[in-house]
Amino acid sequence: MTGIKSVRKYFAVLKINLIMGLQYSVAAFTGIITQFAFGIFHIMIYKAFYDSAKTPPDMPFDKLVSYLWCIQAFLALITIWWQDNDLLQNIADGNIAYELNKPVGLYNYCFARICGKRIANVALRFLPVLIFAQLMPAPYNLTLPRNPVSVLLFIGSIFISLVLVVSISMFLYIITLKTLSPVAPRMIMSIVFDFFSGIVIPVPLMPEAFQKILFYLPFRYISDWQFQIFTENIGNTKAAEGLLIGAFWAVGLLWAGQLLMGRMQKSIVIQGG
Amino acid sequence: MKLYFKYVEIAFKGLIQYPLNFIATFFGQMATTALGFIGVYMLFMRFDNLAGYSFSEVALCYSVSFTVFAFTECFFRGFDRFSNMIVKGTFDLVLVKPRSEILHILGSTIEFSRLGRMITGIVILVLSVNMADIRWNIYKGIAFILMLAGGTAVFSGLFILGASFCFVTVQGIEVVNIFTDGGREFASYPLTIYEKWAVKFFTYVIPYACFNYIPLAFITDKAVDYPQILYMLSPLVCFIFFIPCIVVWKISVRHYLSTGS
Repeated sequence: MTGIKSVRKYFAVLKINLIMGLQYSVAAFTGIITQFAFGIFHIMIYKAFYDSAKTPPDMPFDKLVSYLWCIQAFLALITIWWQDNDLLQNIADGNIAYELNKPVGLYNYCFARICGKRIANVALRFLPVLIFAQLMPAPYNLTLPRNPVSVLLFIGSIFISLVLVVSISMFLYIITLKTLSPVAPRMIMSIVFDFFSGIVIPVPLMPEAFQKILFYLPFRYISDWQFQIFTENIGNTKAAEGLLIGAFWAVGLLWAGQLLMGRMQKSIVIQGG
Repeated sequence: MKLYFKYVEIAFKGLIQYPLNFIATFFGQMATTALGFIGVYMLFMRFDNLAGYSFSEVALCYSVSFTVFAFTECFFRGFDRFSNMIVKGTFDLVLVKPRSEILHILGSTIEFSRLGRMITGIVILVLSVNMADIRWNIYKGIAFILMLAGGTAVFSGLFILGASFCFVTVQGIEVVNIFTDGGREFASYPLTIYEKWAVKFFTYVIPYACFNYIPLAFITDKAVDYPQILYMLSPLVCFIFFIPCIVVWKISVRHYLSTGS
C-alpha cells in the first residue's frame, strides 16, 4: 500500500508509542541524574588526560566537554544496546502473528514503533541535560553552537541518526524472527556499533588511521558526526559531506532491511498457539 | 553454606539449558570489557600519560576495578535485582523460608556470564602486573589480596545498600547505580587524577581509594607520605564500610516486616 493514507497510519503508531513512552517520566528523571553523574565522571577523566598532555590533541577541551554532554543527553537515541524489549518478546512468543494480521507492513510497523519509543525516551531527557550542562562551572560546561548553519545541520543530522539507528536495529528484529533469541546478535551488534560510534571513546580521540576508515563506515554517523557538528569541531562543508555519506548508509540499510524482512516473512515460523 | 552451593548448582543447571545464550553473553561480556580497555589504550596512544601515571599503572587500576566488580556482580546480582523481588512479591516468600534472607537473595540470581568480564579483567590484570615491573614481596602480596577483597566488600555493600532503598522507592537503585557502575568506571583510574572534592568523597565516604589507589601506591613503591603499614592495610576500611550497609539492610527488612504485608 502506498500513498498518504498509509503513511498516516504509521504516524499513528509512532504517536501511540510516543505517548506511552512519555509516561515514564519518573524513570526519566532518575535517568537524567544518572546521566549527569556519568557525564561528570567522564569529563573529569578526560580533563586529567588533557592536563597532562604534552601536545594537546586537535579537539579543544571545551568542545570535547560539549561532545561528552551530547552523548549523555542523546544516549537514548544513539545506543544500539537499547532496544524495544516488548517487541523482542513478542517475536519470541509468537505474538507477532497478531501484527501480521493487521493491514500494516511489518517492517514499517516495527520501524514506526521503535522510532516512537526512542523519540519519547530522548525527548524527555535531552533538554534538561543540555540546559543543566550549560550551567555547570567552567570548564565542565556545555557550549551551544553559534553558527546558525551548524544548528540546521545538527537538526538534519539528528534525523539521519534516528533513521540510521532504527534501520540498523531493525536487523536485530529480523534476525530474531529467525533465531527467536535476540541475546547473541544484540550483544554483538551493540559491542561493535556502540564502540565505533564514539560512545566509549570519542572518535576524534581515536588514532588518525582509524578515523579515516570510519569516515566511510556507517558507525560514526549515528552519533559522532552529530556531536562534531554540534560542537563545531569540523567545518560546515565537511559536515555536509559526512551527512551525505550518513544519509546514503541510512537509506541503504533501510532498503536492505525491508528486503530482508520481506524474505523472512515468506518463511516465517510462528511458535505457539 | 551448603544451601548456597545448592543454589549455585541450580543456577548452573539453568544456564546449561540455554548453552548458546550463555556462550554469547559470556564472550560478549569479555569483548565489551576488552573493548573498553582498548579504548583506554587508544587514549594513551594519544596522551602518553595520565597525570604522571603510566599506562601500566592505569591498566592495573582498571583491571582491579573491573575484575572485582565483575566478581561482585556475578554473585551479588540478587541484590541488584531486588526491586524485581519486591514488585513481584517474591521477597515475602523469601522471608517465610528458614535461614537468612540474605542467603536466599544471593542464591536467587547468580550470573555466571559476568565471569566473562572477570576473566578479561584477570587477563588484563596479569598483563599489567607484568608490564608494571613490580618488585613483589610478601607484604605487597597481602596488600594485593586485600585490594581484591576490599573492592568486593565496597561493591557488594553498595548493592545491599541499594536493595535497602528498594523498600522505599524502586528508583533508589538507579541512583545507587551511579556508584556501582559509575564507581567501577571511576575507580578504573588512579583516584588522584580527579578533583579534590571527588577524591575526598571517594576516600572517606565510599572508600574506592582504599582498594584502588592507596594499596596500589604501596605496591608500585610510590607510598612515601605515611608509614607503609597504613597503605598495606587500607583495604580494611572497605570492610568497615560494609558494616553500615548490612545494618541499613537489616533495619529496612525489620521495618518491612513490622508494617505487615
